[in-house]
Amino acid sequence: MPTEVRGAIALRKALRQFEPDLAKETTKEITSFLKPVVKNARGFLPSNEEVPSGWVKRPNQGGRWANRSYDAAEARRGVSFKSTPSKPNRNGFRSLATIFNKSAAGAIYETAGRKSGVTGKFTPHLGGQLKGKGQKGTGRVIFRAVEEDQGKAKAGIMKALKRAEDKYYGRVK
Amino acid sequence: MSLLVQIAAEFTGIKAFRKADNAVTKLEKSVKSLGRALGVSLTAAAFVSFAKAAAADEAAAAKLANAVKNLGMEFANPYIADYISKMEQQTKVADDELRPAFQALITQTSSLAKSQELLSTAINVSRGSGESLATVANDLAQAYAGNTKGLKKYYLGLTSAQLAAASFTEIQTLLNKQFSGASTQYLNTYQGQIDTLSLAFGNLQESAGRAFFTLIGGAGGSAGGANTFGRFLEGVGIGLEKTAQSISDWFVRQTMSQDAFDAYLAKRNQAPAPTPGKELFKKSSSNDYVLMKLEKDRQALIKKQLNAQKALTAEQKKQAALKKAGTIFDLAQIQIIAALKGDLSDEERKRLELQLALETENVTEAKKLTYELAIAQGLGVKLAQDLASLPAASNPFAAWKGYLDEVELQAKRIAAFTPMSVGAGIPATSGTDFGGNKIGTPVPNFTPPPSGTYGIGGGAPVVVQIDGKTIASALMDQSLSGNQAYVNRRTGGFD
Repeated sequence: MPTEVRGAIALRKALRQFEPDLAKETTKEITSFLKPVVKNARGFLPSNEEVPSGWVKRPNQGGRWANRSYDAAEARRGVSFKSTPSKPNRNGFRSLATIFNKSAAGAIYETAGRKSGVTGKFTPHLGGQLKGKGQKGTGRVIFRAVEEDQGKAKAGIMKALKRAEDKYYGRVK
Repeated sequence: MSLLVQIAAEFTGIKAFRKADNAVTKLEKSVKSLGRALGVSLTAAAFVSFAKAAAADEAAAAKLANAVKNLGMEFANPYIADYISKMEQQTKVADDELRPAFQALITQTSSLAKSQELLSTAINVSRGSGESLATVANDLAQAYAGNTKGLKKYYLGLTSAQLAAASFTEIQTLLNKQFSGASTQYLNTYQGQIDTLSLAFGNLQESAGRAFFTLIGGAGGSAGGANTFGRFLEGVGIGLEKTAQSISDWFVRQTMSQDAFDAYLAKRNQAPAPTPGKELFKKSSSNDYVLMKLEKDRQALIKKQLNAQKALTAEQKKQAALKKAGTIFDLAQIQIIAALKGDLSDEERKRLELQLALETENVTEAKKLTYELAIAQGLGVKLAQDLASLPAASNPFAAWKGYLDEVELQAKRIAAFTPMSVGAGIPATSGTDFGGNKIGTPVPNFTPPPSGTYGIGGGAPVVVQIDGKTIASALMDQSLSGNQAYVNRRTGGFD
């Protein structure tokens, strides 16, 4: 469960409106904490030779699996971050920063076996390690990277926001 | 949908929540301002509890209606609702208490008139003894069924043995005598006045709750309903008039003596508390009359059905007795019974018992004895079971008739055969026959028989007989004789 904060989004809005340079500086600071995690996460993705050969994307491939076949480069491109606030989800939460794994193949590699176990003919051959908290917080790529980061990125972002707030109120006074 | 790791999330609320939240906030403000105007403290939460009160009231009414329906008196539901309402006004007992008490009584007595009578008694006893109406009603219902244990707490002056021996009518008379007028006296006390207030406010809550539901339904949702209801309260202040009246009465009571207050109340057309046992519907005699008539018709129908049932049972008993008496003169049975008294072997005894069972049409016994007999005769268990459960045998001679008919047909055909006449169409030839006569010349010393004697060429048909009977019927009689030499059931043939 992400750390719940209050007023962070309003703060960033105020910064953007009244202190744009401070807003930019804060964004840079947040980015600096997220980049290493994302880089780490990309490193966990296997190359085309390491995954089962039948799953690798082939040129002119058609059918249902055309969009689901694995391509290492595409999967790496799909792992990234966002430092702007997201839209509210169904529970009413918005996040200040997000790390995501967008591609289909990347998501398959991330989550394969986390519910039913690493069994069968496909999942055991994927390699990697499932790490994280809870069933929905476990994965081989981004969740593993966040878990191994041990909350350093999160703490850094909080501190950056706090500093921005202090600077903002300092300047406003 | 891509996988996400959210960092530093913030709850900003969902659109629907915000809308409802705004509506509730507005309602709170309206209610608080109204409360300030009245000098009382009111909150929106109170109105939610009113809605609950309305819902509970409706549920209780439905429960009583269902109980009455299960007793087959669904027709009386509107009258009962009217009765409860009037009872509430006159005795100042909340309908929440009246309904369960009435339900207990009507379920036990199955009589509308009796239940009304007992409810009046129960109210007086409850007010006089301090017990809750539900407890008193329950005790009366139990006493009606013969269990008088619960009546000890009312100190009727009877021992346990006397209570057990007394009839319900006697007990009811005692209760009425002891607690007569208790309800009237109670209403004149301070507590009675407070209860009156509480009842009025309780009814107000229910009315407000019902209004709330109505507005919710009209506005299409709880948020809209709350808004509309708040505006309604601000504009009109509906529903508080009755409370205001009750509060006013209370204040009036503090400023005058009891007699003056009674006169004041009498001026407001308050009806006196009911006298136990007397009808409550003096003012609504049409209802009363209808109820009484319905009750009477129903009782008459039940009595008629009961009498018819009794007559049928008596007739059936008579028939059974006659049949049993008839068996005394059954000779076959007499002979079997006489034979059973003799000295017999087990197998013979079983045979006779089986015969007796067949005579008396005792199927269970017959099956059992058939099985035992078969076992005793050394037949296998399975075969004995099969024998005991054999269905009715079909006629083994059914196919014979067809066969015999065919034989008869053949015989008729033979009898009807006309051979060609000698010499007709046969060319004359020289030569001699077996006797040495020349063919074509008369045989010497031969006298032909008279025509019509033999079957060929016409005449009487050939008839074959056995014991003077034709073959078909003779064979039939033989096989039906029961003689094992002629009948072989296993092979299906006959000798």
